[in-house]
Amino acid sequence: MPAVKETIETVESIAEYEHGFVTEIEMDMAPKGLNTDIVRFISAKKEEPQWMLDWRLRAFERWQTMQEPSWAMVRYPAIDFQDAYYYAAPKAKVELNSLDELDPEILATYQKLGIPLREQEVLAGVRGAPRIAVDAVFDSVSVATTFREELAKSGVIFCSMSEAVREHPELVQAYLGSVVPLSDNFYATLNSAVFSDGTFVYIPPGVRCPMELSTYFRINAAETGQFERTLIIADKGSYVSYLEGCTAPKRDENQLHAAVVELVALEDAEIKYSTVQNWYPGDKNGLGGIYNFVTKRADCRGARSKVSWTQVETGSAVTWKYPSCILRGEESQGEFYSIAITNGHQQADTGTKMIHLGANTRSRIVSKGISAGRSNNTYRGQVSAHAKAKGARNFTQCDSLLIGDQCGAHTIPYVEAKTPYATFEHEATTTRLSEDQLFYCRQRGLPTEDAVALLVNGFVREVLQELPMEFAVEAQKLVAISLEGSVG
Amino acid sequence: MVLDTPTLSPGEAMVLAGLPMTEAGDAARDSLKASGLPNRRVEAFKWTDLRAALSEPVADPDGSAGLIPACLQEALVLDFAPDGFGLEGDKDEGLIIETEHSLPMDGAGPVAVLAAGRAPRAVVLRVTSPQTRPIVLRRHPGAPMRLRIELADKAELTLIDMGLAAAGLATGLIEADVGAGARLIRYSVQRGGAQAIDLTHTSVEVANGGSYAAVSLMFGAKLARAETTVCLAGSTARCDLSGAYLLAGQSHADMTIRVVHRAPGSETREVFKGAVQDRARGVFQGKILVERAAQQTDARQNHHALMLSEGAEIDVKPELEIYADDVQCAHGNTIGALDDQALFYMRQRGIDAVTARALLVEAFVTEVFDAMTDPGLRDWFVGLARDWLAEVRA
Amino acid sequence: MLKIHNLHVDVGGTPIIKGLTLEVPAGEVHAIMGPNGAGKSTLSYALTGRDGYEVTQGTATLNGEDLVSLAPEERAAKGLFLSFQYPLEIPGVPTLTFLRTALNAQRKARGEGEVSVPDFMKLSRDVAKKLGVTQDMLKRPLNVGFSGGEKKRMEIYQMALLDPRFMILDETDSGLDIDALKVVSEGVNALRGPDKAMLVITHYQRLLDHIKPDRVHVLAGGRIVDSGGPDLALALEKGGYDRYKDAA
Ligand SMILES: Nc1ncnc2c1ncn2[C@@H]1O[C@H](COP(=O)(O)OP(=O)(O)OP(=O)(O)O)[C@@H](O)[C@H]1O
Ligand SMILES: [Mg+2]
Repeated sequence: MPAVKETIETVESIAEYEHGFVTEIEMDMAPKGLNTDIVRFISAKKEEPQWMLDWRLRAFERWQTMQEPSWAMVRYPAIDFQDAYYYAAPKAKVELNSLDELDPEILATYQKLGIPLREQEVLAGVRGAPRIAVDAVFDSVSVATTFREELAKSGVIFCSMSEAVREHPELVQAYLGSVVPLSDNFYATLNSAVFSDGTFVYIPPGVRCPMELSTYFRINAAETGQFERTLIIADKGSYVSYLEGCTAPKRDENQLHAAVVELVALEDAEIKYSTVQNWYPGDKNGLGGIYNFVTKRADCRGARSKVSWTQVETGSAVTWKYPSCILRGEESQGEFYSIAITNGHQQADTGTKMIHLGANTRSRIVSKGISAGRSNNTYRGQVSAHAKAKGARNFTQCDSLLIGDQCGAHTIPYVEAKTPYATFEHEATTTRLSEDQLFYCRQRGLPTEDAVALLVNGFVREVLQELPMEFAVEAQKLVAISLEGSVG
Repeated sequence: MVLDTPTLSPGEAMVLAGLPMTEAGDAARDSLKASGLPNRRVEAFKWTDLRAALSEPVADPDGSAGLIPACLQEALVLDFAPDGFGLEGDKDEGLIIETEHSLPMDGAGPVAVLAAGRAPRAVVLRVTSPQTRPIVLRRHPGAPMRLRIELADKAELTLIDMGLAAAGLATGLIEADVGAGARLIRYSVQRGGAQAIDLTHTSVEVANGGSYAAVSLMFGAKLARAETTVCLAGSTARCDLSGAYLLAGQSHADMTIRVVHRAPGSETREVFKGAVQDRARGVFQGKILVERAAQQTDARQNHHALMLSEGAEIDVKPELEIYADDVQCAHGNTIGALDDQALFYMRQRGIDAVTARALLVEAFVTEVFDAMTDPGLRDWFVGLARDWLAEVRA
Repeated sequence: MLKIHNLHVDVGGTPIIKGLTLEVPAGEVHAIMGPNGAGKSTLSYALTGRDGYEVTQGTATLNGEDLVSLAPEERAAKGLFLSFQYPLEIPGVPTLTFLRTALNAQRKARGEGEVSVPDFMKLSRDVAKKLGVTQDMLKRPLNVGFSGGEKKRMEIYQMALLDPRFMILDETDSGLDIDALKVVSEGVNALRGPDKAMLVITHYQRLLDHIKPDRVHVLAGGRIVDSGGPDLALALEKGGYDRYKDAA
């Protein structure tokens, strides 16, 4: 309830992207361009073992034979992949022993963004306040990971990807690329060659992760691509809830973000993955902004495993993203809850894939798209049930809302049924805000802007409810801010 | 991007060789030579791979066009055969029939190009006043058909197109202009054998207050694809499309529909049903595109299908592309098996499982024929569906 | 309090209200009756400023202030409340969230401070108890899945909570069962006061048995064609609207 009020106040007070500042800091950069030398350079910087370098080189070789996909409903000028930096890291002062050694500029950046990096700050908070462990990724590298010791007590591994490659090679080797293979798609393959850092999580059998885990991504450097790689493994009977947040400074040029996220859920394990994506969307005229080309996929490998994706997509100039579930284990479950908001000149082509392979697998898709300004917002989803997926069930609900007459809302579901024992239901609607509802709210005294914010929040509530509490409030604010200025 | 010129398969080469020396024939030849027939890597042909179906030369045309039902004895029949075009029956006033060797093309896409190319000439129907006598398009196995229909303002016409080929490649292109306040109604029955390939493209443009209504029934073939594009170019125009596909054995049927709303206040209703068994495959692709000017559009599409046995496949892509805000658009899709409870209920009342299934499938599918106002034609469609059910359960 | 003079209202280009004059002084309750399609709801929408209800002539003022030029929410902030004949369902918006937002928006517009969350919760509970509104109803999204009667009850609940000065009740009695009619009427009566007034639109005497009107008006053909005391309603119940056919 207070959130609604807050939403309204935020709409009034904030009219612009609030994370658009730049942090001035000394950076370690690889030369511009992409070739085997750069791949070797990245690998060497990270002191990687030979197998990791070989893997990267194979990906790079493969990537050179691939073409950028063109089927999505997004238009942008051709990207010159040679005209970007593929490695940027804050100049480190040797190994960090504690957060106090972290560059104060970076600490200040995260503070400004409201991300707690100091455990004592979190702990000093109100009693009963949620505790969240954070991995902060600043451009190409992870700069801090909190609460590690406490997590280690329950056997949870929560660290940067680079560290995992060095410290837990057996896990990384067994799972990396097992969900999103090295040759999966143009952007994922590029990521496989040049990924810089990211988060690694392993939850041992039977462990319920004692706190929310989160990664906070920040693109800071100019002309730099960000290619992080996240791998989460939930071993038998374990549970983890993971949050991901992103921001970037305002810059006139477009910046590329091509991440890969792989989730593996073994028998009876459950992973809840929530994203609030608020990359810089570009200015009013469509100048600048992040190109967000992300491959996210979960493998529900074990019986009765469950993966739930929840995303609130408000940022980026162009979004190309389909968090998916491969429902391999019997009775495994996949969920996708999405709010995608586009305004200004933003373009989003996002949705999910639910691939039913195992018997009695279930999936649920709830997508709420809101287009305003001159933006285009596309839901693209695939649901398929293979011959062995007896008893599979999918339910899909896709609703689109148009605010203004210069935008577009599109719905493109693909349904493939290969067994008579599966049931699919899909419903989609596209409308604008109801004039009657608006009048009703105004009769009760709400100004138009507030009435719109209220109705839009009502429209997306079903998805907001899937977010962890503290994220939901944040997301609700974001929804209102993203639509700022869209009602005439 | 470099486009390699494909090596044509024997089937494609045969199609190429059969193209007449006309303008449209040249266009089809060029398109074939440049990119061959579309395969599954082409988005619109993802589930209906023409190149694969035509990898081998198509068998010689065989079979008949099917019997014209009693309720259409009075109809004017246009006969399309591989070697030409004929006319049977009486023609009323307000209808002019001509043939043309060269016509600009309204339809788009590889199927339209191929169908235009294969037809040595186009039959043109000019309708200046409402016609009470329906026109039957009798399509013989292997026949190329190209038909241009021009409906003057307030004119009305009912078309029935039917074919029943055992083998051969049959193509059809129907291009229609529906004038202001005019009405075009079309009923089509497609039935092809394991060696038949049926490709039909229909492109309709509807002016202010005009309407296009179509009901189709497909039983598939080795490969059958019916493409329909309706452009509601005028305001307060209407489009009602419904259809059913009933597929058994190895047959493949594809209904690909695109309705474009270009002006304000138009309405679209689509209802499609399917039942698929054995190793058959049903494909339904339906797009509704609402352009920026088409405010107050009301468009709804529904597709519901039953999978009757293992090995069958149904692929569906309903699609909304909307650029106007004051609209009501929706689509719904369900795929699944027959309702167990209904089946049990009927069996509990003493009906054997096979009969109960047939009754339930019949009720499910024939609902789409309720829209047919002519009882004779409706009975014909229901009868065809019923015969199919009797045949496949035997 | 409310003064309407020679009001003309067009809906979709069609004149519906054609020169209506009516005055409801503070402290009074007036009833409006009239045949279906007479323009009763049209009048209530025109007074509250719904889009598409165009005032082409005449004036409407509340306590001397012009209403016609104001936005709907500005009229609401001045204390004008309409209990809708067909209350809307608003999916996803919890009833209490909606009401707290509305209450504070109105208070803000009037330059008053916000009501704190605990105060609001207390207020909402007290009012709910009086009107027989369950906590479950308050937790659900506004009116979603409510029965016809529940929706009407919810309208009066909102009215009691927002404490308006001028209330229009458009067929609030329709859909209510006998017990609910009593509860709702008691709620409405509690809101009467020397500085408040009401316009009650109804088809039936039974509501007026509970909410005693000071005056009864007959609206037919877009005009007030007859006015009288409470007895007029009884006469209408017996004789119907036939005798106004020509007047309209
Ligand atoms: N958009 C419109 N265009 C034209 N006429 C309209 C429109 N909306 C309403 N009307 C007409 O205005 C008239 C008055 O309607 P209104 O709803 O005010 O009647 P009412 O007196 O409230 O009736 P009831 O007792 O049935 O509630 C009716 O004849 C109605 O059909
Ligand atoms: Mg009324």
